[in-house]
Amino acid sequence: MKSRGLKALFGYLWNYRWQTGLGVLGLLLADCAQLGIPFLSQRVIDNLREGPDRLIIALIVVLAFVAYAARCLWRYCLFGVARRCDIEIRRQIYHRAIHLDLNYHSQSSIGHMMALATSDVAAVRMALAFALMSAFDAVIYSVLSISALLSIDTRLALITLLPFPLLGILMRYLLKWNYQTWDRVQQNFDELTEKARESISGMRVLRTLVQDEGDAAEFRRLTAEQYRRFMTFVKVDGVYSPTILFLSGISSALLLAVGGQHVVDGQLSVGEFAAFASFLGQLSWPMVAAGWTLSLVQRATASMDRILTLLDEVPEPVQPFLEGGFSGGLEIRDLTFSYPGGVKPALRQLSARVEPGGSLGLVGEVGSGKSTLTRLLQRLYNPPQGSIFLDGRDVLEINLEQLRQQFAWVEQESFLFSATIAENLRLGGAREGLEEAARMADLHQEVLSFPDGYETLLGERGVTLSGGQRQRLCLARALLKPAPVLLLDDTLSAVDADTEQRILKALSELRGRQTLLIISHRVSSVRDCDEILVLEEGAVVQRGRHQELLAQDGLYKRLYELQTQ
Amino acid sequence: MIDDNIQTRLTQRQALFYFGRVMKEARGLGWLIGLCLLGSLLEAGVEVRLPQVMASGIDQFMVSRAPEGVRMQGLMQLGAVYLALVLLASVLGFALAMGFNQVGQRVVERLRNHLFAHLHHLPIGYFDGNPVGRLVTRVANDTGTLSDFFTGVVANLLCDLLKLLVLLGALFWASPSLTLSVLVLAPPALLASVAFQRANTRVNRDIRRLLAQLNAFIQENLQGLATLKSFTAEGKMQAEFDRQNREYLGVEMRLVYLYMLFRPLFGTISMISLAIILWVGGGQVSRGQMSLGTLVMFVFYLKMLFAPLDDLAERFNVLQSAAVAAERLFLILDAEPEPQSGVELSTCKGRIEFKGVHFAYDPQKPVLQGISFVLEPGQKLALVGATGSGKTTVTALLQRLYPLQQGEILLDGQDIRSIQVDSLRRQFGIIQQELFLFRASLRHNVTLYRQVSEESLREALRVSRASRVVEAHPEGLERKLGERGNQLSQGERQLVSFARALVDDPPVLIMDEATASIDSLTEEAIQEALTEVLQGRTAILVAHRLSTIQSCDQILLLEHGKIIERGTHRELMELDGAYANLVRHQLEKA
Repeated sequence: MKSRGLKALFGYLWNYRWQTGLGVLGLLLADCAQLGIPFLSQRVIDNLREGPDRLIIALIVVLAFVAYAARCLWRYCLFGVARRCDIEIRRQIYHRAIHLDLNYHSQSSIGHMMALATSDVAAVRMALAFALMSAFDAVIYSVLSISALLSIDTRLALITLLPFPLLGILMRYLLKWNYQTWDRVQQNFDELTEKARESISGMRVLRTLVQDEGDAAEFRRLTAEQYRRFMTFVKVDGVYSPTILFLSGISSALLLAVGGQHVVDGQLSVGEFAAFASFLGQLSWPMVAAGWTLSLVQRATASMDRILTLLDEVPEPVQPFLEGGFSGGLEIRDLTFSYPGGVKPALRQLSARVEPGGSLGLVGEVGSGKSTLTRLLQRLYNPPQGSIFLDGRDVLEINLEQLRQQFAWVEQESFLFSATIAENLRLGGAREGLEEAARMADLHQEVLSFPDGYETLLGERGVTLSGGQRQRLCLARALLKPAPVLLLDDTLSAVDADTEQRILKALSELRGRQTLLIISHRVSSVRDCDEILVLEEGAVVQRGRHQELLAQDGLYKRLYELQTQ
Repeated sequence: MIDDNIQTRLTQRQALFYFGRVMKEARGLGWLIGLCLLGSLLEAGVEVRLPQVMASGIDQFMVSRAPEGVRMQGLMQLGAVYLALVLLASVLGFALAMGFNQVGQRVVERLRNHLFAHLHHLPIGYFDGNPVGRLVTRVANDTGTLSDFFTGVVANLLCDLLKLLVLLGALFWASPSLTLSVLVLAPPALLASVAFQRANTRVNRDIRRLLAQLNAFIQENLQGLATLKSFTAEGKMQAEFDRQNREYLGVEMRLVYLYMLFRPLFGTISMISLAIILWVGGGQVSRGQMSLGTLVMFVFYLKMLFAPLDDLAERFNVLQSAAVAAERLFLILDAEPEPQSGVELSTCKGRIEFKGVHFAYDPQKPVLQGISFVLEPGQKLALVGATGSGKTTVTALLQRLYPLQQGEILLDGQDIRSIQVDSLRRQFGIIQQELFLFRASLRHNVTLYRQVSEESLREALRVSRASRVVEAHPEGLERKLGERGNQLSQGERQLVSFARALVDDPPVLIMDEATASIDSLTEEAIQEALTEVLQGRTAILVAHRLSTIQSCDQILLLEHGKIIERGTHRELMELDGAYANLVRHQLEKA
């Protein structure tokens, strides 16, 4: 077929070929047992003159247990395989996703990734479990039961089977409409949920501005739409079982009229007539399954295609580790950089030099490109060749893991994981020195005041930290990392003035030991740096020491005055 | 507080009580429900009739001794009757699906609307104790569970039970002894079904929990990907993911085993029942106690007999979870709304007086302790103090967001408790510290649902300096904002909130200044706007910026809910107390 998704699906199954094979065998056995029953009961019914045949009845009971065992077997094999494939695919998605660079992720969304890992994986699992099973089952079952029908009475079989292909085709379309209308219900439901979420989140605004009626009217519009769409769905969904009932009913009516006449003619025994009815009654399932399988596989193939576009992305090649350590000397040469999809460059012709143990400050307004530099240094985004050097070596030539080990980074939007404080501190692998780092970030006392101290759980299920606490925790986390360069990106914006001074004082002890890059929109944070760059729209408009810059009539002085009123 | 874990099973009496209340929402739909019930009965009758038609075909025509022509003719007629019955059953099936769903969906629509409108009238304190996510689940999902209740349970369970009853009647009428011998296996089948459902619920709960955990893990890792990469923690996280993923496989396999053992059981039980029918019934036929047609009919009925039993336990499960959902909904609906009575206030002059106001969210921790002040029309009041000193509570009490516990608040000399609450709130233009913008156009964010002339909209945008934000984008006012307006900067959001508060031209302005850092150039615009906005209005400002505070007529310095210093900026600086200290610190930080 045209799609690679289907091929990939079979690829996963191939990994479990023995188990799948065994499952199909179980399916075959169960179907044979199931189909043997009408034959056996026909024997009993047709030979009742001497009373019921005990041997055959015993055989039916034996078959019942054989069918049970066979069904257990295929359920274990086929559904087990589907579940195993499910976790394997999810594992591949996760592993690939975290190894791709931010360049990739900035063009995709977390929502999209989550959809891959949840609904697309589920669609694939459904197809592997049910579609696989029902496809095999439908084929085995219909081949066996149709041949049974043909062997009993060929002409009658051909007549009574007439409605079944129609059933298969109809199911296929019904299911398609079914999904389409359900998608529309779901879309509206998402809107409705989002509306409720937003209104409840913004309840204070709506309440204080007395907007309840307008807002409730808006919600009523959505619920009315939900009703309309749901009833459209019911119209399609409600046709489903009556259609099966009706088409297989036509077949039964034909059997009664035509088959009955064959009994009268003596071509057919009453037992055979009953067996015929049983086979026909059970034939509607494979036909329904055929339609079902097709739509499941179609959805799964589409999902697999989406998953493959992620798995096809190749992470950057791994460069060899370099011998010897780094001392943290930075050089930036004429760096111009635009984000993928960005219109204006975030940085323009930036050049700077920091000796190991020196410090560089970057100030500028929001959106002036300050933070971009921290990301380029660590190659979270790749800088252009020949623009950033660590100890004289182009960062593009350094092994990624080794390069990132050289930087301890405190982000502007501090990110903490839903884990304990200690686990967050140990993110970089450090085992010792937790308390010391926390002291330096002026956090130790506060941590001790939590009920579980360093083992306090953060996040939704645990404690919520204030903005300042989060920032200081991130700072402590970075201090724990034995890296020659410390990158502080607007790190202390939510920390109060006294605490900020204490932390800055503590950090000044690191001077000479760690190269320091401080980024801030506040002049007070960078005033002590060896060199300060003032950025405006990505370009350096002023550079120098604090006193030199204050002496000039420029943006630095203006910012300083605005910030000190 | 409404808790997810209150109860997972209710007693039958409780369940019936809540279902009774749910059914009240079906007002005016009684005729439709009656029609559906009648239809269900008819459908059950028709479906049970079908195998009987087959049986009479066998007995009257196939094995009878009548002339061949008559038998042929009769079979054709029976075939036609069979077809007609099938058609009737199909049409009824469709009509019933439509009918039951119509009732279910109407009830859900009404419940959702009720619930949503009710939330709009609950005291704001209710939302402090109940997380947004949980309330959203009530409005969206729990109501949905109730619709499953109508379609899945009322419709299907009722139809199944009716069918089963009619079927049993028909079987007993045909052969009581054979019926009893077939039913021997029904109790164990039912028991198995119940046991299976119990175990299934447990395993599914574990699966949902672990899957949610796994998804949260993935999502968090993607959100913090930059951090993760910077700390080269990919390997560590991968190992953790693999561990959780394998644990998830473990529960999933439990589900596989469970289904493996139970699902094939019904097929087997029905096969054994067939053996019983053939043995007992066959014996009766051979002794001439029963017709051949009746025996074949029993074989046909087998499937109809066991299918509903298979589903029965699951249906009762849905019933249980629907009852739990209903209980949660009524817990919200039964919460007391804000009182709506009181005098309608048109436009106030803006004289505000607090007389000995005490307040506590939690009786153990007083937030305000004896706050008194008078603010004449047109005056500005600044509330200053550390986080948690009670500044925001003062403004919340003035809007009656929380009921007053002790003391009095007067607006133009009138006790605010005697004023109709909506008309009271219309007096205030409010700018909250947490700037909440909606996922809608800029225009909607400024006007919300108010009828605003283009002229007053322009004026509000100009005065608030929000026109800067509008002009910054080619789409202007029609620009769609994302979730919480996140493509705007903090400062821009502040300006939009200004405009939103000013559109109605309210006589009193209440502003909770944002503490978060706003870049210095936007800050200039905000200061400009503030100066113009405050002109001629009574205002209460929870202020952090010195420039805002300095221009106020009265400054209250709060500490632990008490006013420790009051006066103008000059007076307080001369006093050289806590306020003067605070001001010096502010300067130091900048």
